[in-house]
Amino acid sequence: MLNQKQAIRLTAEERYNQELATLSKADKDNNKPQGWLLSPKSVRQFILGNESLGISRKFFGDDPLVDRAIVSLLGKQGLMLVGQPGTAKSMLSELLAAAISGDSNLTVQGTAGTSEDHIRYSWNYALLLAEGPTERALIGSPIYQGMLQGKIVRFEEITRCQPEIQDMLVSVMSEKQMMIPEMGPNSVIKAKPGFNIIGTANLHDRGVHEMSAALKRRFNFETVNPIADKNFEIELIQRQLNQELGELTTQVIIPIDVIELLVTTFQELRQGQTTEGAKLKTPDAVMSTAEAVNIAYASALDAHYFGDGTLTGEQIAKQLIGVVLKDNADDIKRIRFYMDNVVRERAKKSDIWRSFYQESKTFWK
Amino acid sequence: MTISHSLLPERLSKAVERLQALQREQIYFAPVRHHSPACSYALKQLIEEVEPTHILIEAPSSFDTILQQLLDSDTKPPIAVLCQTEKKLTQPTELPYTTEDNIDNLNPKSNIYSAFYPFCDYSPEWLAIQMAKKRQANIQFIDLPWSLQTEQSIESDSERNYSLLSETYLKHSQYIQRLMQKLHCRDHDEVWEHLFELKDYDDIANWKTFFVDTFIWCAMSRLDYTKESLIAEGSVQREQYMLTAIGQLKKSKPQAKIVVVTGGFHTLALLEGLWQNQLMLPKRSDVVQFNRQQKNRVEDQTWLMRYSFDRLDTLNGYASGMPSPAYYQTVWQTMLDYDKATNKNQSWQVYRQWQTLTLLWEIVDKLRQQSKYDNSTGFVALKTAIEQATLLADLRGHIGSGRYDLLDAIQSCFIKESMDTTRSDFWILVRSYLSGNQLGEVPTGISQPPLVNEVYLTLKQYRFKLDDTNPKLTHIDIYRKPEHRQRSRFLHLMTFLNVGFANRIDGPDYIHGQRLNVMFEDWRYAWTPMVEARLIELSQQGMKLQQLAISKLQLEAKQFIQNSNDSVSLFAVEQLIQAALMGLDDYFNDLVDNFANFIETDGELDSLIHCGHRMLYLWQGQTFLQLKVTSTLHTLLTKIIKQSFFLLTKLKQHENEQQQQNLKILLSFRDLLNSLPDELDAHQLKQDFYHNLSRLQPELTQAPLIRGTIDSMSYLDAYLSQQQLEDNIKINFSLGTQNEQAISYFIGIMQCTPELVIHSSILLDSLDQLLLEWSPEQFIEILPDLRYVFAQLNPKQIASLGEKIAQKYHIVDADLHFQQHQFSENQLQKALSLELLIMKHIKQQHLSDWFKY
Repeated sequence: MLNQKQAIRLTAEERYNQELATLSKADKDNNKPQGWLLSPKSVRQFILGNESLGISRKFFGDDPLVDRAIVSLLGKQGLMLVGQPGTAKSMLSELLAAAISGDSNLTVQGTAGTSEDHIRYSWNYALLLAEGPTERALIGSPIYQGMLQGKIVRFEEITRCQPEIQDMLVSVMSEKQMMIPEMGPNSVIKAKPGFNIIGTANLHDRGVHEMSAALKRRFNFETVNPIADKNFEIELIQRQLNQELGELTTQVIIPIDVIELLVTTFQELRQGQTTEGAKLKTPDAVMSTAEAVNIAYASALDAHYFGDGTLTGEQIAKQLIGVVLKDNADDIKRIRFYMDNVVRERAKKSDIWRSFYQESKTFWK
Repeated sequence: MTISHSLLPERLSKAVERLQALQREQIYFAPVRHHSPACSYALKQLIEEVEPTHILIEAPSSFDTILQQLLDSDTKPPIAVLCQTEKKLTQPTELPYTTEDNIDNLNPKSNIYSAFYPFCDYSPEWLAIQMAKKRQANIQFIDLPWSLQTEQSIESDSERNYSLLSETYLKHSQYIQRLMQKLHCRDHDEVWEHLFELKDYDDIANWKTFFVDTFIWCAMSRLDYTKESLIAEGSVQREQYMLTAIGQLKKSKPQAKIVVVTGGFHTLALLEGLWQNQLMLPKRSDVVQFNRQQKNRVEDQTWLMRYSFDRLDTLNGYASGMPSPAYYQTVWQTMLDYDKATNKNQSWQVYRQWQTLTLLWEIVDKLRQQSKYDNSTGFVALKTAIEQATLLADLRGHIGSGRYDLLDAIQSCFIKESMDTTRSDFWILVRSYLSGNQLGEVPTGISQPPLVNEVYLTLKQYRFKLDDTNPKLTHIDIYRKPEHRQRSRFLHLMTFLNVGFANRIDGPDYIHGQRLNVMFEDWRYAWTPMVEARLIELSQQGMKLQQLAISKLQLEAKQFIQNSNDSVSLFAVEQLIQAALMGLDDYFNDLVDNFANFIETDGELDSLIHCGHRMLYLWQGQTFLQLKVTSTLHTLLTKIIKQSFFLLTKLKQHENEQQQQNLKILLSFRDLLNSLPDELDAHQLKQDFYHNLSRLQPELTQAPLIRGTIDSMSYLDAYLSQQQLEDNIKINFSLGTQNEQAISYFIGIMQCTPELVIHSSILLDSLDQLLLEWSPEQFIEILPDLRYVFAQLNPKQIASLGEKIAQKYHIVDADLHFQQHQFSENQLQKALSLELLIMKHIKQQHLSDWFKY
C-alpha cells in the first residue's frame, strides 16, 4: 500500500467513517447477507440518508434506483450503471462499495489500454523466475482481490476497454471463480460471498466500445439520469458549492438568483426546451449537474479573487464557454441561438440575466 | 406500517373519536379509495361482521333507477354507469340585428354533461352492492344528483371524459408529498400501495384499524383545502346532501345498522356533521332542501354500459382510482382465494408469492412473443426478475411484492441498455399487460337506448368482431361484393357521425378525387365503451343512424345557407357525395332534384368549376356508389358548364392577384372540359367555350395575363392557327403597348404552354425586342416574374432554348459549354508567363502605381 499523508480527495469510507460506524452499531441485530458489512436497509440509509440517525443524504433524485441497485448486488447479477457523463454514477458505485464492503478501493479504471492482467492477475517476474509460479509471485488484480476477500469490485468506464478484454468478465461473473493454470491443473480461486462487480459505463460517448450480449446478460442495468427538478438542482448545487469552497464560503456572496440562472440555462439546454416551452437546439456538450457545480465554483473563485466578492451572471457567462465548447463546432451556433433568442429577451426584464447577456456577447458574437 | 396516531392534529384525533362514537350508534364509516382491493377486502370483513341493514354509497341518488340492473346476475364488471344531464345554456345577449330564429338555428340551446361511474370487481362500491344483495340489506345512493353537481363544479367543457370518482386531491396533498420523500416513494400511488395494499391480509381484514388509517390518510390531504375552495368545487354542497341522507335514515329507523361507503376525502366532513358530542339529526330546513334537491333526480339520465380495463386505466390517468386494473384484478382474486381457503395452513405470503410468479411469467410470455425481446427474456432473466422483485419487496418492508416492485424488477432484469434508448414499445407492452383489456358484460335487453342495440346488431350482422376492445383491420371489396358495399356505407355513416368506431386507412376518396382507381377499402375499427357512450349520447337526438345523419346534413346545409350564399354548389356537391357514400338514397335523390337550383344561384365561377370536377368524381364512381341517376348527372354537368360560360365575364377583372386566380380557374375549366364523359357533347361544349372566350376578348384589355392564357389555350386546342397566334403575339408586344402588359401576356402564355417559347420563334423574338428597350431598373423589377416563368421549362427545353438564343446572336456553339478547347495547355502556359514577365517589368520601372485603380 502506498503511504500518503495528504490527499485531495478521501475515499467514501474515510469521509463517512462516522456515519458507517453509527449505522453498523444500529444494524447489530439485523440479518446481513453473507459477506456484507451492513444489512441492505442500512446500505440504503447510508445512501439516501436517515435524519434520526444523523446520516446525510448522498444521492439525489431517484430513490427507487438505489433500491434496485442494492437488490441487484444481493443476487448473482452484477450491477451496471449507465447514463450521461456527470450524473454521479461513479459516486454511487463508490458509496455502494463503501457501505457493503467497507472498501471502495478495489477498482479497475478502464481505458483503451486495459489488458488481461488488469482483470485477472500478472506476475512479479523476478519472483517468478526465482520461485516458479507461487502465490507470492502472483499479483492479483482488484477483481482477484475482491474474489478472495468477498468484496465489491468497481469497474469504471467498462466500455472504454476493448470488447475482448470486457469479455474476460463473462466467465468470472457466471462461474464466480478464476483458474490459474500456471499453478497447476487444479489451481483455482473461488469467490467468497460478498463478491460482486459494479460497472459504470457510458454508452454513447465518443471512443466507447459496444458491450457484448453475453456480458450484458450478466449485469442488471440501471440508468442514472440528470436531475430534472429545477429547485432541487439549485439546492444541490448550492450545497456542493459550499462544500467545495470550504472556508471561502463566508467570503463570497452567492445570490440564489445567479445559481437559478445557471440551473435554468443548463436545464433548458439539456432538455432542448425553454421553461416557456419554446424549442431549442441542444448542444452535444455534456451539461451535467457536476459541470454546473464546476462552473459555479470557478465563477465564485473569479468573483472572490478578481471581482468584488459577489457572484454575478457575468462570471457565469465567462465560465460557460469552457464547458460548452469542447469538441463540436456546431455547439457555438446552438448557444448563439440560445443567447439571441432566449437570453436577450430575459435580459430586458432582469438585471442578472442582463449582466449574463452583456458578458456573453463578447464571447458569442 | 400503520400510521402513527400520536402526532395527529387535534381536529383529526377528535374525528377519530367521532368515528368510533358513531360506530356505537350503529353507523359505520368505510372511507375508501376507489378501485382499491385492500379497501374492498376490509369492507368485506366489515359487512360480514356488522351485518348491516342499510348500505349507503357515495353515488348520485339518480342511480336508484338502474339499481336492478346493477344487481342483475348477468352484469359483470368492468361496467360503468353513464350519467347525463342536459343543461339549458344562458342565452347570449341578443344582438340588435339578429332575429330570434337566427339564434335558434345557430346556437344549441343546451349542453349535455356526461360523466362515468366505473365499477370493477374489486371496487369497494361494487362489493358493497353485491354483498347488500346477498344479505338483503337496503342500498341507497346518497350523493347529489348529477344535474346539481354540474352546477357547481364543471365548466362548460362538455367534451372531456369526466369521472365521478375524482381523486385529484391526493396528487396535491402536501402531507402525502412529505410522506413520499420520507418513504422514498416516487408518487402518491406508490405511497398508498406501500401503506395499505401491501399490508398482510390479516391486518387488512382488521377493518377497525384499517379504516382509521385510510381515514387519516385522506383527511390529512383534506386539511390542505380552505373552506372556500371546498365550496367552490361543490364538495360542501354534496356533503350536506349526504349528511341529510344519513341523518334522515337514522331518524326514521333508529335501529338501522348503517354502513356508509364514501371516498375518504368526504369522511371528515361527514363525521363532524354527524357527531358533536351526540348524534346530530338533520334540521327541518336541511330536510326541505334535501327533498327539493332529490327531486332533481329526474333531470339525470343513467345508462348501464360495458366498460373496459384499458378505458378505466385512461380514466384513472385523471387521478380517480388506481392504475393498472388487470394487475389489481389479479391481486383481488388472490385475496379472495386466500379468503375462501378453509385450511389456512398455507400462509398468505405463499399466495402473494404465487401471484408475483404468475404475473411475471405472463409478462415474460407476452414479451417472448415478440422476437426482438427473445434475447433478454430467457429463463435466467425471468428467474432473476422474480428474485429481484422479492428482494426489493423485502428491502422496502413490503410483505410480498407490489406493483412497483414488479415494475422495478422488470426494469432491472429485462433492459440491458440505457433507459432512454429502450424501445418505447417495451414499456407499452408491459403497461398494457398490467392494464389489461377485459370487457364487462351487461344483461341483454336492458334499457340500452335502442340506437346502441340496433348499431350493435347491424355490426354483428356485417360480421365485425366486437368481443374485445382491441383495434382490428377489415379489408372491404367494395366493387365486387354487394354485402361489402353495405358495410362500407355503414362505416361511412358512423364516421360521419363521429361515433369513433372506425377510421378509414385506405380506399378511393370521392370527396377529394384521390386514388379513385383503388378497388378496396381498408378500415381499422374497435368496439370500445366510448363507441357505446357516443351512441348513447346520439340516441337522444334520434332513433336511427340514417335519420341522424340526414338531420346533421340538413343542419349543416341550413347553417351554410344562413352564413353565406357563396360557393353553394360546391357545398351541395360535397353533401351529395357524402350522402352517396353513406347510402342515404332519399336525401341524395332530393338533393339531386334540387341541384339545378344550386347551380343557378351560384355566382362563383370558382365554386362551379370545382363542383363540376366533383360531379365528375361522382360520375366515375357511380358503379360503386350504386347511383341510378346517370342521365341526371349528365344534365347537371352540362348545366354547370353552361352556367360557367355565363360567369366567364368575371375574367375581365384586372387586379394582378385576381388575374392570377382567374388564370388557375380558367386552366381548371379547360381540364374539366377535357375530361367530360363521352356521352356529353364535349366537342360542342368546347366550341362554345372558345366562342365565349373570343366574345370576351374586347373586354380583356386590362387583363393581359388572361389574354395570354386564352391565346395559348386556343392554339393548343386548334381554335387558333399558328398565324393567328403569331399575329396576336405581335400585337401584344408591339410598340406602344406598356411593358408590364406585354410581360403579363407572355407569362399568361407560358403558364399554359411553356413549350411554346421554343417552338414559336416569334414569341422569343418579340420578348427579345422588348428587353432591348428596357432600362436596367425596369428589367430588375420584372426579373423575378421572368425567372418564375422560365423555371417551368425542363432542363432539355432550357438547353434548346439556349441554343436558339445563341444562334440568334451568332454565338458559336462551343461558347455555350463550360469546357473550352480552342486553347492548348501550352498556349495558356505561355500567356501566363508572359503576364508575369510584364508585371515584373512594370515593377522594375516603378510603374506599379500607374496600374492601380
